[in-house]
Order: sequence, then C-alpha cells, then structure tokens
Amino acid sequence: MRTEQEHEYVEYVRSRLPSLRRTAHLVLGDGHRADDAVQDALTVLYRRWGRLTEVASMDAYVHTMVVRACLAYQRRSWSRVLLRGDPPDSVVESGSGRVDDRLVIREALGRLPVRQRMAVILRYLCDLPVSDVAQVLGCSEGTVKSRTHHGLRALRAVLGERASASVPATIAAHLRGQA
Amino acid sequence: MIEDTLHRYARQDLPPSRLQAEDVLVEARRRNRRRARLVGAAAGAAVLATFGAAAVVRTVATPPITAAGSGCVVDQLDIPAGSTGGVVANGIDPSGRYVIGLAGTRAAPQAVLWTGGTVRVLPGAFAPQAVNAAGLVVGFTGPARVQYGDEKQQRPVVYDGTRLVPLPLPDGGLGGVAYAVNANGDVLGTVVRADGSSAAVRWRTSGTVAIVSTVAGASGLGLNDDGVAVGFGMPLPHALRWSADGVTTALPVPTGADSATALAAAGDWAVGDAELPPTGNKDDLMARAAVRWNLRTGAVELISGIGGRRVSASGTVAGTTSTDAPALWRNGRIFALPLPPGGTPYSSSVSGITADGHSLVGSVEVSAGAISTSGPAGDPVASDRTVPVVWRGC
Repeated sequence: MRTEQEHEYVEYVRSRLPSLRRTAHLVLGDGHRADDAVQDALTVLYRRWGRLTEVASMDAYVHTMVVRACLAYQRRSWSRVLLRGDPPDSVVESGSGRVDDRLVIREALGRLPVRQRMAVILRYLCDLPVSDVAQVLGCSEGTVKSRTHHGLRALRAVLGERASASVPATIAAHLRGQA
Repeated sequence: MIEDTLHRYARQDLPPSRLQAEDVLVEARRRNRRRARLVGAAAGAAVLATFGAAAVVRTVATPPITAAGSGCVVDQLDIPAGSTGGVVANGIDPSGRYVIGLAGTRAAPQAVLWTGGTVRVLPGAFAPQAVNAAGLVVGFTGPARVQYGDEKQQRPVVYDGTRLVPLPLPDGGLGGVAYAVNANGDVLGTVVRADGSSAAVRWRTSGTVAIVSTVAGASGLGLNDDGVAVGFGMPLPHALRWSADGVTTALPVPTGADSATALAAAGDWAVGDAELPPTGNKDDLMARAAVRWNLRTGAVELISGIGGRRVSASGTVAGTTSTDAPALWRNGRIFALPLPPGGTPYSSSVSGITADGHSLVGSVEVSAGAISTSGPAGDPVASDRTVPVVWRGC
C-alpha cells in the first residue's frame, strides 16, 4: 500500500475504531477477543484498501467485516470455549446497579441457540436492518425474522423466570410493562 | 419491551482497550510482510509435499509466481512540469496509445495525459478514471479521492479532447463519478442520491442518462464494448452484471470463495476480487484472489494469488499479488512484473491493461516507506516517492 493510502487507512481506522470495537464486543461479549476480531477485519480492510473502499458504502461494509471476523473467531475458538466453559465476561465495577443487568442479559443471550443468538445480537444490539443481518449470516430475511422472533421469546422467558426471583428492578419493570 | 432492554445493554460502557489505529496498521503490515516470506518459501514446500505421504490438500491452489519474460520491461512515465508530490497512472486505453494519470492535491487534482511520448496536464481540474481508444477521458471533478464511498462531493465529467463536459445527474442525484467508458463513448458510473442510496448509472453518447440499478450500495464500475456493465452491491459485496438492455443478474461466486466483487470488464471478460473463507491462520487474511467471469458463457473461475483489478479483452488479469507486487495472470500462471530501479515490492498498484494484455500501467513507490501517521505535506494525491510506470511487452 502506498504511503498516502496508509495515512488514509490510519485516519479511517482511528475514526471508526470505537464503533467497531463496540460491535465486536457485543457479538463476542469479551474485550480481548473483540480486539482480536477487529484487528482481523481491519487487516482484511488493509488488503482491500483501494478500489473497493473508494466506491462502496464503507462503513456498512467494514461493520459487516467485523461481524464476520467475530463469527469466524467464534467458530475457531468453539472447542476452546467448550473446554473452558463460558467465555469470561468483562470486568465491571460492583456496586453499580447496572452490573447485574449486564450479567443477566449476557447470560440469557448465552443460553440461546447460537443461530438465534447471532440474529438477536445483530438485529437488536448492533441495530442492523433485517436485510443486512440476512447477508451477514448467509440466510434469508424470513429466517432472520423467525430466529429473532424465537430468540426474543426465549429471552423473555429466561428473564421472566428470573423476574420472579432476583432480576434487577429495571428489567422486571420492562417485563411487567409488557405483560 | 425486551427490545429496549437490549438496546440499553448495547449502549453499555466498553472496557478500555489498548488497540490504537497505528498499532492496527503495524500489525496489518507485519502480516503482509510475513506472508511475503511464506509465499517465497511455498515453492519449496510444494516440492516436498509430492514426496510426503500426506500432502496438504488446499481448497484453492495458488499458481507459483514467476518473473515475467525478458521482453517485459518497465518504464517510468514523465512527470508533468511544475507538478509537486507524486503522480499515479490511472489507466490506459485498449490500444495502448493513451495513458491517464492523477497529480496535484486531493483538494485540487490534476488530470495527466501521456500520449505519443509527451505528457501534459488537462484543463479543468478533474480526476480521470478511464480512457477509450478515441482519447475520450471520463472521471470526476471535486475532491480527488472518493472519501469512503461518499460520491456526493463529486460530479461526473467527460473530457472530449478539447474541453471538460459535465455529465447530467439523474433525478434525485446529488453527485457521482464516471468510472468506465467503452469504444462507443458510452459511460458507466455511480451516483449518490438525496436519500443516501447509490445507483449504477449509464450515460449514452446520445446524451441521455439512465439509472441501471438501485440495489443496495450499487456501484457501476466496468463496461465492455457490447454495453454489458458490471459492478457490485453492498454491504456484503456481491458482483452484479447489467445487460445492455437493462437486465440485472448476479454474477456467481466461484467455488472456494465467500464473496466477490466485479471491478472491470473488457471483451467477453469481467474481473474482480474474491474474498476467501477464513482458514484460521491470521496470515492468510492477506491472501488475494481474483475472480474472472466469461460474460458470454457465464463461466466463472477463482484465481488465487493475485487480486483482480483489470482484465484485457484477451482475458489476461492485471492486479497485485498478496504482497502488493504488480503482476498479471495468463493461462493459469502468475507473472511478477519488473520494478523500476529502487522500486519497493510492497506498495504498487496496477490500474490499466491494453486489449491484447501485453501493456499495463500502474504506480510504484521508489523507496521504502516508514509508517506514516501524519499525511504528506500539502495533501498530494500521492507521496513524492510514487512514480507512474508503464510495462510493455509483458
């Protein structure tokens, strides 16, 4: 890559790094693995910097690459995850009311079948349109809708179970509001 | 609603990260260089494998890269007088008579035309993208670099040999770029519309403009003399073909690839880049692969080891290797193009090829670059180490 293109690349990466890390973190649920996946995606972007980046909707494309790098990362590390149990959650400060919320939701997401989980994460956490989720996951839009529908229903059930026990007030309120 | 809970969860504070933009570049470069060494060692490994009991089966075989024959020579193109910063060659017409290039700054680009051994800067401050055998040049005015697909700052133009003529935007178009011109003078490009969507657009010599395709993220990039256009949609890149009478069809993804983009067309051929599935080896992220489609028969093939930037009417693919060295692919073999004295192998581009596939143009950096975290002074379109080159007899 030519010098001025490397400069443009660094400029672009600097401006988009926070949102790309957020996407990767939401998909993988772990800061270190998220950084690895972002590096993988941005390495591919380095290779493709040029015609593709000049003419296409860059941001949507790069976010798609990050999600795909996360999925590849997840597939690669699947055996390791099985061996050591659930991936570690990020360290959060205890004492803040949001800690429990996060752990509860992350755990609830973790209990979904992987395809449902990915559809829910991409659609509702990463805010991708249904058509983009379908492209990223390589399935039809109808399949995305059915997976998110079943995923959300399962989440409600899981979080609802906990609502009767020790679910944080905010979530319990939402669940009640929906009833 | 559960959706609101999830949205709130998505906005959580992230743990701090040590990942910085400069580190991302250093790591991408490191993998690029590492891959260069691995590719260099691969020929030996392939020989050993034939003696081994269990040879590694690769899904995509990469042909060995050999030096182009001694008849293939590289020449630096003259730099126009008064030009500061670097100059890049952007294209060559199918007959090999005209070469176009870009100089100046990103804010004020200069179009350069080489013909018959002379070089001159064309009037009108525009960025040329393609030239046909009649010397018709197409491109755009506005900032020299299309910033991350934001073509609304650009206006499509054609230079007819004497003056710069703006091409009309279709209804709702805010800006656009003309990327290809064929022998008839028909032009293909991309327009950004007021709602933020993009469309592939065809301008005919009759003066009409027509939207070819409005699939999401559509970019129109290549056009052959029969009027068949190619390009791609987003966000997961997928190659598209538009017939002369306006029918859109998907170009197939070759077996062994995840996705493909179409970037150029000539004669019966279209070419683009393929994205290969991840192998688990991070160094493989730098591997390039081209796709070549036969627009007449529909046949598709995956070519590992070279990116597909341009194709000749004879079917030769021009691009750069996985280590950014200039190369061409012909009849199943990849040939490395020679570098000018002092040329570095990691920072080349190939931007044009003639109809016969024997002459190419591109740009090469002539000294090793340090990692740049600040832009070149004055924001030139290329660093002053970048020189335009032409390869002939290849």
